[in-house]
Amino acid sequence: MPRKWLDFKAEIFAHTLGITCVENHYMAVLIQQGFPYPCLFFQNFQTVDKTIHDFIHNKESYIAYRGMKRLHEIGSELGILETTHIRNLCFDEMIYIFNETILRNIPLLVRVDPFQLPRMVGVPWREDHYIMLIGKDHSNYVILDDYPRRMLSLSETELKNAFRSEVIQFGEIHPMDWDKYFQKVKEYVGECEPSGETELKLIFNENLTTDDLLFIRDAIGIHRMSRKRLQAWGQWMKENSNLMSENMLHLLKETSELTDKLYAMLEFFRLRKKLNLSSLEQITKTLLEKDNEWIRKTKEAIKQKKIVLKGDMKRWIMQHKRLWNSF
Amino acid sequence: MDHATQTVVEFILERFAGLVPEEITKDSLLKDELGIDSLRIVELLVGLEEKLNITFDESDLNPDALVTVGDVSNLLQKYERVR
Repeated sequence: MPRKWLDFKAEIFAHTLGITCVENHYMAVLIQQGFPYPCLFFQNFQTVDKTIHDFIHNKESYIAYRGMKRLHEIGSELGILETTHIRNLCFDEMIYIFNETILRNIPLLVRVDPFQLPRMVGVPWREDHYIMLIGKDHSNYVILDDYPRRMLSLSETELKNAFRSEVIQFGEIHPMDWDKYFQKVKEYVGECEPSGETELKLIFNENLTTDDLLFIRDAIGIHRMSRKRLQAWGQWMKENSNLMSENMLHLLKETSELTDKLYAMLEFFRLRKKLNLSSLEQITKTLLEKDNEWIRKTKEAIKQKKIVLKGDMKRWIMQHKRLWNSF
Repeated sequence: MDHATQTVVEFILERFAGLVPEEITKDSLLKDELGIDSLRIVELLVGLEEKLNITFDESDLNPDALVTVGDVSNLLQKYERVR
């Protein structure tokens, strides 16, 4: 039996910036196909105040956070790449679907129990984990895992032991309607407002204990991911349109670095069981100032400018790329 | 392998037993090769604090600046010199 799998490498996940495994795999497929994937990161202007509000009042958690749309939901709304979730499959049914889709050079997301996968490195975030089946290596199945990042060759028995009756199928990739896209960007950013600092002021006071830090840490974790996504989006917008300036990107970089610092600081205080409230207040104050300034500047830029594409983006639109690479 | 790196490697193997590969060197990438992400790096540093009776300064606690095992051992050496 031949050795044949789709051209993916585990390093691709360094760019996907997903909160969930499905997001990571969805973005990996777009990246592999040369799609300008950072354009999907625009719906991340949510303020840290809103995120913390969700965690306190809506009992949200990091791994199942619903306060921001999933990247594959955004991609579907924009008509780029649809997914279909199929449940209650036996192993043979899953293999049948895989054999059908791989003939069209399309990978298949397969739900697994990550603790049943061999050679574990790191600890998975949740039990409902998806890996990507990308082909076969003789009689083994080649899979791509986003956490930990790796490519594995699994025997049929190993895959069967790990499989948990659900798959997510990918459709075909369609070109972006850029007029629709920029209209959505304008509408979305137009509705965003800078942080009111309400929730943070409620939290960061002398009643705060190290036990409270877990959910604050996870809320900041979401915010951290959102700012990394916006950095990728901002850089892409700067290279491909007239919207983003170097000054705005620098401001966003500062915001992102402060969020990283706050995230680590919260975990340090939590594990040390010792709080330094003034450090938290100081870094949060600076973070909010810079974050709010960036949001205001971006809103103003979008309001005042007609967004014009330039450079590589124009060339990409004029090309009609083949939807999937061949082997 | 220098003493600080040896300490870090032994601690990683002890704290994350079964979750990391057994072959760890100074150049091993914490996240990409050992699966030790930002939160686990914090866990690693706090664990080293407790084990070695040191306290890292807040300005040094930047997981994103710690990419390899060597970065952690260099940080440790800085505090061991001060002691």
